[in-house]
Amino acid sequence: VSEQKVRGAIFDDLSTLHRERRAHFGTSAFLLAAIVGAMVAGTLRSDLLAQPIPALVAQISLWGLGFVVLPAIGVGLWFPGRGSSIALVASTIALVWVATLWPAHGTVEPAGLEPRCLMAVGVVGAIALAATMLSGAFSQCHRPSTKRWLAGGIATLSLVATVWMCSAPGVVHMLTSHIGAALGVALVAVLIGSRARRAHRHA
Amino acid sequence: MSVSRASDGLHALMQRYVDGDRQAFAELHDRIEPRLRAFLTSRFGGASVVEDLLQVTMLKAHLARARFRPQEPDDPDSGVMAWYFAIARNAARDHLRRQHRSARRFELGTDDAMRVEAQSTAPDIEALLSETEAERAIIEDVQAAIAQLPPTQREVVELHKLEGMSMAEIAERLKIREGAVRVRAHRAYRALAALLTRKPKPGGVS
Repeated sequence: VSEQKVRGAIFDDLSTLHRERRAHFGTSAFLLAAIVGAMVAGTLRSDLLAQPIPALVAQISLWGLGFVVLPAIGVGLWFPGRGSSIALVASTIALVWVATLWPAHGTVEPAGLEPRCLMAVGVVGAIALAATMLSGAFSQCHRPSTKRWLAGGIATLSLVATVWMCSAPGVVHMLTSHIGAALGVALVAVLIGSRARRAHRHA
Repeated sequence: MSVSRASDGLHALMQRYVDGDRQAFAELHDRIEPRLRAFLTSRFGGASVVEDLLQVTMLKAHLARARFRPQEPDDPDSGVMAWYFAIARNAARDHLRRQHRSARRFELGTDDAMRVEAQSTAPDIEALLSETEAERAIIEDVQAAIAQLPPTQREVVELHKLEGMSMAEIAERLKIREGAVRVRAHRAYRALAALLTRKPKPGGVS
């Protein structure tokens, strides 16, 4: 009987932690979605629905990954195994390819590096990073992979938001101004996340 | 939500448990429990005492899980077992102390209540649950008081009390004289005493 009682008490404690995290980070994600949604809605590309269906589906999936799935792993709401984690990362990379490079393949290159796109990625990335920092997400879990999952979410979000604002085609443009910039955002997020975790440990 | 992974090591399970994974806790419990039971049985034999000490160990480990640090970086799975064994050893030692005290009171006293106490020395889980709640409240109070200290004093308290470093080691780590460390520690503990005695206790009892 006592084993059941203690096991139950520990399960209840972990469930409470899970509920509290879900409520806390759900609110943060909702606020972030409202801000980024308003930004994107104001400058939505005119040919959004004219894109190939697989690209559109991949972009919608990336919204889900950036807003829900990757942050949920980062803040300890979902604990995928090693195989699932690898599959998730591979899927995200494939989705990025389908969402950005596949529709751009074969188009004439009117633009390479585009400062406006770089700025869009940077601004959305900065907003998402600020929301992540202020919500305390970086210091929520002890695993070293936390910051990488959160950085992945932030980068995915900034990338797909920019893809929905910019209709300029071209593989080089996508590689430099969208994907390259998003990777830069991810790198900055990892560095800031590491600092935030160190500061939290010493606080 | 989590996925069951039979191949995960104890350390990986422990990390996920510390981060709040219920499934990881269940798996870890199932894998650690038989070894802890064997360890406690070899010392106490009595099934009910062993069972209670096992649950005390699990509960104490749960409350202390955020402080888990593997002591053996080359073999983190052994580090997890060593950590649980250390908690079990402490629980067993506390139990023996209580048993000894009760037996001593029985020898000296004549009251019937003392006889009853001496006959029933196994730790009471209900009492422990409320005790651990009270302990958690005290830990939170102390953490809040430490957070109010100036950074230089807080650093010394954390290194001394939480990481168990000596004054000389702290001086070496912070690259200051040992005397300066002692002064900071003295001021910090005086400030902590003032902060903690000023705080009213629950129920208004001071």
